[in-house]
Amino acid sequence: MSISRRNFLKGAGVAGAAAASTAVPGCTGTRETNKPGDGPRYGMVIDLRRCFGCHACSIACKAEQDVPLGRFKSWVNVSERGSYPNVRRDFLPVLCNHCDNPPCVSVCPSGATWQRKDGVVMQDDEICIGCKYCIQACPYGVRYTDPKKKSAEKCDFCVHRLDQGVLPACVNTCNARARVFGDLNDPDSAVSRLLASTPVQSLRPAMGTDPRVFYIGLDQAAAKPVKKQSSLLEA
Amino acid sequence: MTKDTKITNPAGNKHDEDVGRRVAVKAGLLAAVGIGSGALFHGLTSVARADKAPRSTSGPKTQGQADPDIGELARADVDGYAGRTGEKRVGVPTTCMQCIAACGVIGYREKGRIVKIEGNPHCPNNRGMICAKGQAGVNQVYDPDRLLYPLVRTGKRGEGKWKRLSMKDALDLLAFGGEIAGRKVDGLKTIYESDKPQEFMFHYGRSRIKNAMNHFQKTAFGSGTQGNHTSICETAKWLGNELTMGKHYDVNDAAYSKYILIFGANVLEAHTSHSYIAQRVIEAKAARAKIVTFDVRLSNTAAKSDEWVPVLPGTDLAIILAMTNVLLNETVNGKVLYDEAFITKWSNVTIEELKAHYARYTPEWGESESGVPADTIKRLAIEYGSNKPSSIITYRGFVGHYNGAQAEWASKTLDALAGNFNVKGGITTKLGGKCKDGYNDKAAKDHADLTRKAVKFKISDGDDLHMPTHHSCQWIHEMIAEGSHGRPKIYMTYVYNGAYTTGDCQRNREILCNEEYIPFIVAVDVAMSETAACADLILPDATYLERWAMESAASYAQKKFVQIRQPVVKPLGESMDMQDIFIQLARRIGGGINTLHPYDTAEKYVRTCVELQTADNAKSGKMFYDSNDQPLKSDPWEYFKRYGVLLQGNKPSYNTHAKAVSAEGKTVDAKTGVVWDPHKAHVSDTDVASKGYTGSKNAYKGYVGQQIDGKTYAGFKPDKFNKSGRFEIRSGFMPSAAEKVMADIKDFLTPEEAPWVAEHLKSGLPSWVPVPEHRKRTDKQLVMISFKVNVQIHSRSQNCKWLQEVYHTNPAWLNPATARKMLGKGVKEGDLIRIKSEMPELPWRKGKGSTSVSEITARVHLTEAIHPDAIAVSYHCGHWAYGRYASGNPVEVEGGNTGAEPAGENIWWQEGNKAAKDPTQWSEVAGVHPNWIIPNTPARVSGQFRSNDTIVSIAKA
Repeated sequence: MSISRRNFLKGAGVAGAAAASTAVPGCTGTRETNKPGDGPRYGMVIDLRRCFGCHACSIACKAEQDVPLGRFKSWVNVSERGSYPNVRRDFLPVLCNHCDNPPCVSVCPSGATWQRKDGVVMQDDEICIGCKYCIQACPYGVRYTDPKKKSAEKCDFCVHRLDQGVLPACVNTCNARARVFGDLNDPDSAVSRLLASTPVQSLRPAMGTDPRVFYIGLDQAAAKPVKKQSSLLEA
Repeated sequence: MTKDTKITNPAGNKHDEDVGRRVAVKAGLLAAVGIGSGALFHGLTSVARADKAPRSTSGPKTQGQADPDIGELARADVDGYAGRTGEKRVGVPTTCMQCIAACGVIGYREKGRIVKIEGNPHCPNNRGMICAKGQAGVNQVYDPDRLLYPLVRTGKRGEGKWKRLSMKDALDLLAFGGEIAGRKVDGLKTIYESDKPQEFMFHYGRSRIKNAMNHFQKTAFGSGTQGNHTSICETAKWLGNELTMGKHYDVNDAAYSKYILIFGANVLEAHTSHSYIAQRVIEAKAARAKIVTFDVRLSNTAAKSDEWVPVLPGTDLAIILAMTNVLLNETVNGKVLYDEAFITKWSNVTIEELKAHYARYTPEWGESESGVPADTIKRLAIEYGSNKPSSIITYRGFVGHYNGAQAEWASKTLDALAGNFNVKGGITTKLGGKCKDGYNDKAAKDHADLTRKAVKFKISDGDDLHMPTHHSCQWIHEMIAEGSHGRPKIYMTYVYNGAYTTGDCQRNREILCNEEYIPFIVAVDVAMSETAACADLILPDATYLERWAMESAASYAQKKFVQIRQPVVKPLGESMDMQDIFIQLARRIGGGINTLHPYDTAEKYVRTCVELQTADNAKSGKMFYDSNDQPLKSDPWEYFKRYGVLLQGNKPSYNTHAKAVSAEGKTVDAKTGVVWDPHKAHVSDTDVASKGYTGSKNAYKGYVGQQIDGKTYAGFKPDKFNKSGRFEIRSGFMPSAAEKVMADIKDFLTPEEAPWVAEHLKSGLPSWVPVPEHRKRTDKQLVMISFKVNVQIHSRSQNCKWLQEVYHTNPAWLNPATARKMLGKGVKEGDLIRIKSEMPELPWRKGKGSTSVSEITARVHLTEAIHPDAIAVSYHCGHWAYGRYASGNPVEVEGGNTGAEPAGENIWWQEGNKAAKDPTQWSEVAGVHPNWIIPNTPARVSGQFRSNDTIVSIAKA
C-alpha cells in the first residue's frame, strides 16, 4: 500500500501518523494526542438507530485480532425493557473508547499500555507484566487477560489496517453501516461532519475519560450498567 | 405511536432529553467542526445509499475506494493486506455459503491458511459487508471434528463405529459395491447398467451445484429420484408466488420502499438474502420509511421496526385478507388506495369481483381470528396503501403453517392491488445472472446419443398433496418406509441433514438405520451430521472455501450478475469437491456416463461455463460488465477470478413484465391470450388444437409472452405449470384443492362458517383457511414456534466455535404471565420445563401424524417479547452429532481423530457439563432441538413442513 493511497491522511496528517507509529513505547501521559493541524486523531461514531445487533463486528474482531474463545475486544450488549406488548430491545456495541484521558495508560506501571499521537490506545504484549491494573482502571470493561500470553489485551482500532489505509474490521463488515470511522481533526471527514450535524453521547461521561467512541441515539438507561463484556468467563 | 401497538425504536424517538447529555467534544474538535450550533438530530437521513456512493469509472475498482458515508479509509479488497504480524494476506474473491444468500466475499490467506473473510466490495448485493456467520466461515475449514478422510461403518448402522478409508478405496466401494460391516451392497455401476437407474437416489441440502448434480444423476445416470430441502423453509411461499407472479422467487426492493410490512420474516437476523436485504431495510429506515413487523415474538427485526404487532401463530393470513378488504374499501383524501390500472390491465380479475369476495374479510373479522385489533389492521392497511412504493416481506414464520401457500397467495394479491409489482421500491421477480453451462449446453449436446431420460420413484412429493411444486422433503423418509412407490438401493446425501432438520427426528433415525428400507447410505459432508451418523459410507466434502462453482444470487441491485466460487485454500486431507466426486465416479462407472463428463476437474468445468458465455455474448450481442458497470474490456475468466463477479446488466431493471416481445411465428392461445411455442414445449399439433395451452402437458415450457389489447408483453412468466402471463389473482389451480382442504378442516370449523369457507375455497380467489388443529386448542395449551437467531444458520454452523460461544443453548421463550398461569407463581428464569406435543392428528394422517417422541425438556426464558399463547424454541441447538462444538461429542474413529486440527482451545461453555445422553433432554452443552416433537405431516396444498403449528402443553420438569 503506497502512501499516496492513504487518502485519509491529509497534509500534515501523514507526518503525524508516521511519527506516532515509530515512537518509542512508553507512558505518553494523557491529552497528548494530535490537535487539529498536528495530524490525525482517530475516532468512531456508532449510530445506534442503524445498529441491529447482528454481532458481525464481534466475530470480525475475533478473526482479525486472533482473540481466544471466551474473550472479546468488540461485543454487542443487548437489553430489553417494557411489558407485553410494549417491549423494546436495544443494542449497544462496545469496544475500547480510545479515550483522550485513558486511565489504563495512567495506571500502567510498565509502559505496555500507551497512546499513539493519533489517539489509538496501544498495548504491547512484550512489555506487559500482567498486573491487571489497566483491567481494573478501565470503566468500560473492555480489556481482558490473554490466557496464554498473560498480557492485558484490548482493541487497537486495527492499527495495522489503518496504517495501510484500510478500515478497522468491525467498521468494514458492519451491514448496518452504523459505524463511521475517521480523523476527528479533519473537519471534512465523515466522522467530523456527522459529529457536527448530530447530537452524540458517550458511555459514562462522568468518569472524565473523554471517550473517542461516540454514539448516536444512546439511551443511557439501556447503557447502564456497563457490563463487563470483554470476557464471557469472568462476567 | 399508537395505543394498541408497539414500540418505537430510537430512530423514531426524538431524543431531545439526550441532547443535553451529549458529550462535549473538547477544544480543538469543537473549534474544528463547529459543534453546538443547534444541530438537528436527523444525521441518519443525510446518509446516502451505498449504491449512490461515488465510484471510479476508469477501469476496475481497486483497493483504495471508500464508502464516503462511513469514512475515508478503504474497504478491504482483493489486493490483500498485511495482518497484525505484518505477514501478507492474499485476497481471493469467492462466494459465502454459510447461509444461502451467497454473498460475495474475499477470503484472505496467510501462509497457506485462511485467516479472515470480508465482504467483496465488487459484489452488487452485499457491497463489501458480511454478517457474523460469514465472518466465522474460517471455522468451517479448521473444525477439529471436520471429516477429512472417508469413513466406513464397522458396527451397526448409527452405532458410531467407523474405520478410515482412502478416497480411492471409498470411491471404488461406491462405484463397484462391496462389503460393509459384513453385508454385501451393490455399487453405482451395477445400478447404472441395470434397467432401474432410479434406484440411485440423491438427496441434497444447500448444494449450489445444481447443474453438475442434475447432469450426473439425471442426464447421464438416468435417475430422477431426487430429494431437496426446500419444504423445511419455503415451499409454500414458492407456490404462492408461482400461482400469481409465475416465478417462484420474489425480491423486495426494500432500499427504495417508503413503507415495509414484514410478516414472519426475520430479515435482520436470518433471511434467505440476509446481509443484503438487511442493509437495504436499514437504508430505507434511514430514508424515513416506516417498517412494521408482524411476528409472534419480538425478533431483532421487530425490535428495529417502528411497530411490532404480535400475532397469534398461523393467523397472518386473516390479517392479510382483512388488510386487503381495507385497501379495497377505504379512501384517503377522496382517492382509492388500490391500483385499478394494474389490476385491469395485468390481472385476471376486476376490482368489483375482489370487492365482492373480500367483503366478508372485515378488520373486525381479522381481529376475531388473529387477535390484532381491527383499528390496527385498518390503520396499517391505510398507511401501507397510501405510502407507495411499499411492499410486504414474508418468510417462514408466515408460510410454515398449514395455510402457508394461501397466505403467500393472499400477500402477493395485496401487493399487486397496491400497485407495488415490479416498481422501484416495490416487489419484483428475481433477476439473476446466468452463464451457459458446460454440461447442459455442451457435454449433453456433444453426446446427445449417450444422454438418458431420467426415470424416478415418486417419493419426493408426499402422497395425496395438492401442488408440491418444490416437493415435500420431510416426508421422504416416510415414503421410503412405506415402500409402495419404490425404495432406493443407494441413498446418497449431499450436505443434507434430514435426520436433524425435518420433524419427528426419532422416526427419521429409525428409518435411516433400517437396512431393509435402504441397503446402502452414502453421506457426503464436511461434518459428522446426524444423517451422516446413520450412513454406511461417508465421503469428506470440500468446504465452500475450498472449491469451484458458478454462483448466481437474486440481484438486489436489480441487475444480473454471476459470481465465482473458487478455492481460497486447497481442500484439506482427502476432502473433495462433490463435482469432482461426480467426475471420479463417472470415470469408474465408464461408458456413456464417463464420456458425458469431459472435464477432468470442477475448475475446468467452471472455466468452460465462462468461455461458453463469452462466445455466446460475441454471437448474441450480450455483454459482460465490470463492477463499475462499464463494458468489460479484459478477459472475462481472468476478471472473474480476480474480482469475483461478472455483471450481465449495468443498470437496474424494473417493469420487466411490461417489456414488449415478438409473437412472430408463435401460437396464440385464444382462451388465455398466451403466446407460446408448442414445439419448444413438445406439445403436438393435435393437442394444441384440442387441449390448448391450459390443457396441454408442460405447455408452460413453451411460454413466450402474454397478449393484452393486441400487444404481446413478457408478462408474468409461468415457472411450474400452465398459468397465463397475467398476474393471476384468480387461480384456476386452486378450486380443485378445496375438497382435500375441507376434508382436513371441516371437523374444526363451526357449523356457521363451514359453508362459506367451502364456497370461498372453490372460488379460486385467496381465501381463509384456518390452521385446523388450532381451532381446538385449549387455554391450557400453547402453539410452539421455532425461529432463527443472528449468529447461527439453521443447522450447519454449529461446528463454528466463534458462533457457538455466542449462542449454544436455546432456552424456550415464554411470556411471564403465561408462565405464572401454567407453571405456578414461583416460576423463575432458567427453570427446567417439559414441553409436550398435544398435536391432534388430521383425518388423512391417522396413525402417521404424530411424533415418535412426544416430549422434550428445556430451560425457560421468561420474556415480555412474545405472544402469550406461544412458546418459541429456536433451531440451531440440540445437535447430538456434528462434532464437539455443536454437541459436545467429538467424532471418534478407529485409529484416531480425522479432524482438521486438534482443538487447541478451551470450550468454556461446556466446562463441567456433559453432552445429553438422551438428546430429547436439555443439556447445558447444546440446549435441545424442537423438531423431536414437530410432526412431519406436510401442509396439504404445498407440502410445506409445518414448523410453527405444533400444539403443546408445558409443565415444570
